[in-house]
Formats: sequence, C-alpha cells, structure tokens
Amino acid sequence: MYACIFIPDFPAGALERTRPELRHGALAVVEGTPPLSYVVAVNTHARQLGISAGMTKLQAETLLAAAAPTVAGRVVERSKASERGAHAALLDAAHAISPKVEDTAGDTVLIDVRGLERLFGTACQVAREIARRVSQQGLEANIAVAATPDTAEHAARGFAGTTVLAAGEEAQRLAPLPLEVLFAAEAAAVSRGTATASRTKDERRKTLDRLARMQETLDRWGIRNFRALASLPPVSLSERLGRHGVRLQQLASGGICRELVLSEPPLTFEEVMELENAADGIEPLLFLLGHMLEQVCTRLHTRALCTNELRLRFALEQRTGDNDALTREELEALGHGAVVERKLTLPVPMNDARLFLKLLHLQLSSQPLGAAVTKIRLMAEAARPRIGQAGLFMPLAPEAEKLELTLARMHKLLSAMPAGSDELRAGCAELVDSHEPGAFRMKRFVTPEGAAEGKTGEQPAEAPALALRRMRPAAEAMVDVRDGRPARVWAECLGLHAPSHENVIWAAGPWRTSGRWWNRGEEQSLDEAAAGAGWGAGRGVWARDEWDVAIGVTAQQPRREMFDGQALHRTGGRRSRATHIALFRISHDVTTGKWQLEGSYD
Amino acid sequence: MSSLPMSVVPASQPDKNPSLQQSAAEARARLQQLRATLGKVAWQMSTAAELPEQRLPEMVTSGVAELDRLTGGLPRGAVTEIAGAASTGRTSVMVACMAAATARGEVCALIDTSDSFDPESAATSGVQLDRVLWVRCNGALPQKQDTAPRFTANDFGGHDFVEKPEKKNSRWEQRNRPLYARLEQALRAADLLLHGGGFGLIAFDMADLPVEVARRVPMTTWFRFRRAVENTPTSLIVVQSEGLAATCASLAVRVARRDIGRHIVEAPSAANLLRGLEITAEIVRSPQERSRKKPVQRETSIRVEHSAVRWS
Repeated sequence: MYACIFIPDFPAGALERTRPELRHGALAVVEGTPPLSYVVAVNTHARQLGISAGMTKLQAETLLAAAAPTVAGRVVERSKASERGAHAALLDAAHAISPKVEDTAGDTVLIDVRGLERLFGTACQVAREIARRVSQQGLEANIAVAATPDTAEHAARGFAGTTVLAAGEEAQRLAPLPLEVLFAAEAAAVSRGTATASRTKDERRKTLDRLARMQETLDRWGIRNFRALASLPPVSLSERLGRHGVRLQQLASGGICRELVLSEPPLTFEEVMELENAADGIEPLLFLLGHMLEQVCTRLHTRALCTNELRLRFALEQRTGDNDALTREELEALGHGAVVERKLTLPVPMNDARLFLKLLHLQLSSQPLGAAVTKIRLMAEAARPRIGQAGLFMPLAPEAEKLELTLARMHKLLSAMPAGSDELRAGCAELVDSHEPGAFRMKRFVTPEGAAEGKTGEQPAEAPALALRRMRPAAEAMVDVRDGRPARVWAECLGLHAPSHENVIWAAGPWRTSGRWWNRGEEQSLDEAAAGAGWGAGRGVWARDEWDVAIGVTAQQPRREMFDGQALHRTGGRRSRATHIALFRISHDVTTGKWQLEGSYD
Repeated sequence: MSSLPMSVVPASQPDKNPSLQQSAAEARARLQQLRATLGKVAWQMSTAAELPEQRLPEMVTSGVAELDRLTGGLPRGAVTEIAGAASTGRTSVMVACMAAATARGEVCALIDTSDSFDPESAATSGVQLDRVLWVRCNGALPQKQDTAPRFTANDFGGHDFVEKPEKKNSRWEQRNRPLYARLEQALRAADLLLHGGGFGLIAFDMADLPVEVARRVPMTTWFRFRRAVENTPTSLIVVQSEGLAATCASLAVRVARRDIGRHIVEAPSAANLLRGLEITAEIVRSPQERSRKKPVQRETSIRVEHSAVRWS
C-alpha cells in the first residue's frame, strides 16, 4: 500500500502556514511582474468568490473588492521561501510515518506504508495518522491510500480529504476524475525529474510539450475523464498516441505499479518569512518569531530532534523617505549591515519554542536591531536530544532550560556595563595557568555533568581557609617604609587618611613574584629599566613584592566605608568608636615603585 | 474500632461529653458558613488544628566542623545570616560553605555585590569553581545622572527593593550612588536565582557595603527572600557587616576575631607569616531555639588557616 500527501493550491497553503492570519479571509496568490501578474493559487474563501488560477491580478482584486464588506480578501505575491519551508515540513511529516518516502513534487509526497499495520493499524488509521501529522505542520492536505503509488497520487489530487482505495476497485473509484488530474500529476513528475524518461532540461521540455499535445488530442476526441480513457481500445490508442498513450490509459485504470524513488531529506531546519510591511519594534517582531519558532520546533519534534543553536538573519529596511528608517551607511555606522545576524547558542539541545522566544526577547531587547525588519530567516542546527536519567538521590542542580533563562535574564540585568568593559559578569570563574595575582578568566556557566551523575569532588578541608577579598581594581595606596617594612599605610580613595603615627601593627613579607619577564628586551639592562619607564614597559612584564599587613584604625581616624564596619557601632543610641584591626594584602610594584591595596583577608 | 487507641480515633466519633461535641459541631458549622460568605479569601482562614506543623529544616554541613557542632549545620530552605566586621572570617566561613556544597555535588551561586570574590583562594579552600555561578555586580543600572537614585520602579514583580533615601541629592547619597546601584542589582539577581531554583546554596555577599547602605533594604525584601527560599532545598546565606535580616533569618551567626595577637607568628626578620585567624562564632538565632531545643553551647572558636601556610 502507498499513501500520497497532496497539498492543493500549494502556494496558498504555504503562505497560510507562514502567516496563519491569511486563513480567515480570501487569499489569491499572484506571480509575475505587473501588469502581467496572474493568480497561481487561491484558498477556499477566494474560490467561493469565483477567483481561480489563471486570472489576472486586477480581476482578482475586483472580485475581492466586490466582496469586501463581508469577506476580507488579500492578494499576496508568491513566496518561494514559504513554499520551500512548507515542502520541508511536508517531508518531515512523511518521514515521521515511514522512512520510505518519495519526494514526488513540491506539493506531493508518496509514502510506502506497507508493513505499518502493527504500528498504526488499518489503511484508514494510517491515513488518519498521516493527516494528523500534516495538520501539526500547519498544512491542509488531501491524503489517499491505494495499492499503487500513481493511483494514490491521482486519488489525492482528485478527491478532497482522506481517501482509501481498496485493491481491485481503483479503476472504478478513479473513473469520474477529470483527465486534468492525470496530466497534472505527469507534469509534476516531469518537472521534478522523477520521471525516468526526462533526465535533462530539454527532455523535460519535450515531454511537457508532448503531454500538452496529448491532452489537447484527447480533449478533441471528447475523452475528459479517467473512465473514458480507460475504456478506449488499447491497440487503437497505441496506433494514434503511441506507447505514451497506452501508459496514460494504464495509469487511468490503476494498472501500473512502480517502485518509489526514495529520498532522504537533509537535516536543515529553516523558516523564512518575507514581510509585506516592515516590522518595527520588538513586539511585532516577537509575534512573528514566536510563530516561526513554533514551526521549527514542530519540525524538530517530528524528527525526534532538538537544537543547540538558533541563527537568525534579519533583513533591515533601508531609507525610503521615512525618517525612522536608517540608511545603509547609518546601519554600518551602528555596526549593522543591511542584514543583521543573531545567534542563540544553547548549552544543551533543547526543543521548547516558548523558551527560545524568551531568550530571543532578552537578547533582542539588550541588543536592538536598530531598524525595521523586512525579512526574517530562522535556522536551527539539529542535534540529538540529551538523554538523562533523573534520580531521587541525585545532587541538586538547576534544570538546563531554567538555568539558561535565568542566565539570560541575569546577563540583561548586568548588561549595562561601563564603556569598554566586555567582561562576562555572570558566569563561571576559571583559573589560568599563571602566577600573576588574581589571574582568572570568566566562562559561560553550564550545569556540570558531574552534578547530574552524582559525582562529587574532593572533600573540603577540616579547617576553613582564609579567604581574600580582592579590590577590583586594586586601590592605590601610600606607604611609608621603615627598616624595609611598611610602617604607615593609607589610601585616600578608600577613606584611609594619613595617620599621624605608624598604623601598621604587623607586617609579613615581602614575597617577590614576577612574570612575563621573558618579554623584556634583551638590550634593556636592569639599570636602564630602573632609570626608565620600567622593565619591558608595555609588554605585560610585572614584578612585585607582596606584604600581609595588619593595620590598626584608631579612634582619631575618620571612619572607613568599605572595610571598617566594626570601627563604629551603635551603643544605646549613641555612637562610640573602637579600635579595629584589618588585615590587608598590599603590593609594591618593583617596576613602577607604586604601592597598591590588593585586598583584605576576611 | 474499639480496639484502636484513643489517639487515632477520629474527632467525628461520638464523644462521651455531649456538650463538647455540640459546641465543636457548632464551631465547625460557623466556620463553614463564614467561609461560604467570604468566598475566595476563605482559604486564609483556618483553625489552629488545621495549621501545618512547622518542622525543623533539613540541616546540611557548613564545611566548618566547629560551626556544625554549634548550629547543627546550615538549614535548607531558609535564610542564614553571617554578620561580622571586616577581617573577622565571615568570608572564609561563606567560602567554606560553598566548598562543602560543591563537594556534595550541588551547584552554588554567589552574588558578589562588591565584585571582590577571589577565585584563587576559593579554589584553595576546596570550592569547585565550575559549580559556582559567580554574579559580579557592577552597579551599572541605567539611571539618570542628574537626579538622586530612585529605587521604587522595577519590573521584577513590582516590589521595591530599596527604600528611597529620605534626603535627595545629599552629598552622602551622591557618594554612595554606585553602592546603591550595586545593591539594587544584587537584590534583583538574588530574586532571579531564587525563582530560577535548582541551586544548593546561594551566597549573597554584602560584606563590603556600608551598614548605612545595607540598612536601606526593607524588611519586605527579606521576608520575600525567606518566602521564596522556603520549601526549596536551597540554603540562602547572607554575609554582611551587621545582622539586618532579623527574624527572616532562621540561623543568624555573629563572627568576631577572638584574639588579635594569636594569628600572627613573630618570626625573625622578613620571615613573618600570617598563619590565619582565630575567630569566634556566636549564635544569634537558631532554628533549634525556635523548636524549644535551645543549644547548650552558644559560642565556639574556629581556626581559619591561611592557605599560603598550607602550601608550605
């Protein structure tokens, strides 16, 4: 048994899939350069108004205008991009049923459904399942199941809805169909290249011409349906129309069974939306993106796949006399071209349209496009879904989807950074292989694999280690040195004013460290470095002495804001002062001679 | 039914005292009538017998053995407050808690109000950095430069995180404007993380904020944090100079240095070495006290070692 999925008025169906609001009114799809624009497809509402394929655009608009008070109508240009997306969705729906799929035409797909009885049931149940899957993709299709592929295709093209032809009654059921169905199916097969006799472009053209001549001949004979063609004497038909005429007769009686030309669709999930009116602002854009994401996620779900990367390409509106639109130069000045790309990289494969929409919302609101959008292209990178086994005794870890959303919101919260700072503000710290103090890099935070597997790391030590609170950037300090040791330390920027006496109670050090000294020029000697700007100035060379100092903050000193929370405290409603000792790490830059407060021990 | 003990006999069983039975039935009938009258808000009414039993929170190790002995560990689903002045070991205790959480395989988050976290010393303490989400507040919230900071408008649930300062455009406010912005950013980040869920421990580091700024956080914010964290397996640790969360903190610990001289070893010449700190931790509030199981010990001594000494 073979099943055929046929989308009647495919250009209109593809547009309705991309823009669902078009379903509610009459739709006429036109193609061609004005004034030679012709209607190529219509939807049901438009057909009821008398609009049909082949009409001029003006005729269609006239009929729509006449019905305007009661029926809303639109004349829309044909969109090849929408048709490509609809065709890909059609293939996805077919491959969800069976791997044996023939890509017959843009609007037609044949499926070998033999052996699916145990999975879906009878032929009727298979047909219903196919209809359900196609409907999920936003398409309205005719489904037919028959014993031969061509019979199924003819039935799908000729009968609306779901049709099941039992074996042996094909000729009887196909009899009332007009011959246009037969020739349309043949022409589609030739155009697509699935017909065996038409390999090259010239051969296809010749075949199409021959089909047109045969249709004209049969029409002159008064042969207008399958019954009439099937009842002709084969020998006489062969004498007049040759072997091709006999083949057409066999097709009309459902007597030809062929093997499907199987196809494997590529793993590309792409949706394109071309807008008649440019979408300005984030809200309309999100509305469109939400629909596109739904479509992509449905296709991924159909193929049991997820995505770990979404790429968006926006075509921006150029200046057309509108002051709000930006020119190409202005867009380039803003760092944008006429086309702006955005990428959403996910730590784990996901398939949740609502989550993607929220993430895109956060990204687009923090990085606006800068101009109205005329075309959107959404591409999803397919990935296998992650397989995880949850457990009752697993360590606590955030869900990947929730964490991604939380991080996106966090990045938006922290995105208003000072100029020139492109550092990641919410993420995971990673130590770098360097002795440079405070050297680390930020990386994206992802849920560690070990958390899901219940893996635990090293046990912490019994006694807690002394933690350092770093000042970023290090505060410049003034230090008086006596006997080679810091005696007085003050830093105006932190409110540590110059004390009248030595305030360093104790000092430990120095510990000298240096790095990148290998970048120092060979011609520069130590004396030159000491006399000049320093060792390897501008080459990242550093050398410093570190001290751990305990600084006593006396009562006479003004209160410090950052580190001296204990210096002042309320006692019975009156402020009293107390001497406080704070432990600092200070450093002396050997190359520049400056002192800095690196941080405090706490 | 007669073989059942009295404790499991349902209240609807006939009581020996008919007057009590009658009054209870009348009370129930009145309650039902009142609930029917009030309609939607009736769920807020409950009798004492219907109130859920408040259980002790699950306690997990804090990573500091002395602190565990004193408090029983860190409560899950509750706010823990560690208060103390600078250089009293409060950050060391917080880092030890993070190390213990990551060792359990949990994922932690650190809201660093002053961007002062040192990954190197934390890694030395045993913190697995790849399990810690570090939120570095920069205080760069969009706001007008010519006006005093406003903290009333927000889009995170419509709550005010920080009270508006009483005096506008004062010098003190102008000086502390970046601190207010950092605090507001940190509070919003905490809200996001608490509602995101899934973290074993969330550390909220406000230690470097002046008390005057930290006091601007209204109690409603602390109540909201307590409400957000309860019934979750997350421990929320707040580190600050002064205990400000009040009753919102299930466990409040005040740390102080025990002895200034003991943490320093006077060695000859330049070989002096900072060996660490010796601090005391005092319980201010504990969930065990609330359950009338007052801890016998209220104060303990903790030795915090300098990592450099450990390396040697």
